[in-house]
Amino acid sequence: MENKKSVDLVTSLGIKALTLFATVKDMFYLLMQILHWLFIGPFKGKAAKRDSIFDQMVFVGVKSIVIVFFIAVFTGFVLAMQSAYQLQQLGAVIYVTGLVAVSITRELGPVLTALVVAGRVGAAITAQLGSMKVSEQIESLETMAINPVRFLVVPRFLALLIMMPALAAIADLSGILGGFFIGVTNLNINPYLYIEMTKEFLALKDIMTGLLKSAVFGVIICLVACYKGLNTKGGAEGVGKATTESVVTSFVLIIVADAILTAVFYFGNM
Amino acid sequence: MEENEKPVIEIRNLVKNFAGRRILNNVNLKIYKGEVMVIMGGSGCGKSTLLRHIIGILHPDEGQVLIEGQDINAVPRQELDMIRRRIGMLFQSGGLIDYMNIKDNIALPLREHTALDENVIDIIVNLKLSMVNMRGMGSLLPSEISGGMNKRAALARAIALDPAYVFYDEPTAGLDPVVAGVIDQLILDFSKKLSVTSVVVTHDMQSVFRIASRIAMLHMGEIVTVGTPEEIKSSKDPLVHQFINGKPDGPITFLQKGDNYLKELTEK
Repeated sequence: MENKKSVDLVTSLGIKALTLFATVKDMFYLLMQILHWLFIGPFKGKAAKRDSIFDQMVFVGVKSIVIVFFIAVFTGFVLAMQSAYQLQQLGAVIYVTGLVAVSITRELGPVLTALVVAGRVGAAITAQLGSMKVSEQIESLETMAINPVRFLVVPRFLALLIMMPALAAIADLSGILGGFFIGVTNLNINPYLYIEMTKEFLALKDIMTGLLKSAVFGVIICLVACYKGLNTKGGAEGVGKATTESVVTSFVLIIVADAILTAVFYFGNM
Repeated sequence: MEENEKPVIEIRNLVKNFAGRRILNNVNLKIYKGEVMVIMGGSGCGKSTLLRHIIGILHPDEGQVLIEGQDINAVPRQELDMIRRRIGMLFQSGGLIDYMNIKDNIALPLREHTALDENVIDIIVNLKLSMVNMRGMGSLLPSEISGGMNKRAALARAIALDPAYVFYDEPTAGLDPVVAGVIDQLILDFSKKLSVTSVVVTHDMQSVFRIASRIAMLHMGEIVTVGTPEEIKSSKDPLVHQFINGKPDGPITFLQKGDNYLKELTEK
């Protein structure tokens, strides 16, 4: 009996591993298809339509500005207050300026933006593609000789790739603004000094690595959301399940990718 | 149909399994130019699956599907797309893209596959809309119109590129008898006026005998008979006889065997 149980455990682990492997393989294949339609398709007169790219950019980017702004500003508030609480004991409150600027641009700006976009846009993409899949719309595109990856995925990919760094830049600015607000009103730092100190501490590479990260997060969100959407099965319930999975998977992958990228930048001396 | 004529669509020894279950078992079927071939059979007998194989969304485990002599599972992607441009398909739920209005839906294949001017596309779209009696409804979204209109709009999209073949998946399912009659008339019109070759999958018997030039009966994944409506009506095959008359008793059975019933009920 004992033996049988352990065999079952091994079997189920094996099945899980194989499923995971297949998922990763399929996502990689999806990425290859996207790259094909991005770089080879246009030379065969089969580019993604500019209108739909623009529509998606508005949806992904413009309509996320407000929420990204609020989240970053409040994170800036909290960061400034929490670090001031510690730094006061050392009499080094002025270092709040650098701490807020560097942690927002390197880390929190891109990551929080990615989580917001994964929740707002990633979920919407999965739900939309998923319901198109279960109501025969994806199949109908195929029968019209219209490639669903080119028609539906590529515009979303481009929109996320372009708009994620733009949103992260907005988050960077708003976060620093939040810190500035607390620094000037609550910590009695001279506004001019705050700006000068921020400039002093902040290096271009801090901003660049952050923006690079956010572009990678954009690719992750697109791949996960589109993959989950296009592989939806089983009616309305299936769409709900796919959407949840899409958001959870995106969150996990974003955090993991963040750790890996940070390690690369850190050990690569960037 | 003359025996010596070459079929435009030919299905050869098609076998398909889903999760270990055999859905299609050695299906052979020849479809000739200009005819309305109706594939009829009970729910779950594999008729929609068969239609999906003919257009190449599903791929057979064994056997071939030939369209004008080309094996659609062996040709390169571009050539399959060229074949598909000459095929229109009407899905059971219409399959209209839900975020586009009716006009954009019908214009979609034209915009994707032709270099026509927007003005010309406009004219073609209006032409197709009037063919399905939906003039002036181009600006509505698929969610704003009824199921019957959805199907008619989907039909207009299916014929947007003036296809040589149109495939219908249960075109009259879920529609009231009058609308079903209208759809049947449209199918006949396309086949007569535009000399379209049609393949219709349905279990609506009224519709079958209105439109069919030949009928194939599919049962448990196998083609049982192929014949003209007259041949099918006078068929001595008990399967066919039961199906077209909708008799509950006969070789097609929904009753389960009673041998182990008591055991199934009491045992956990």
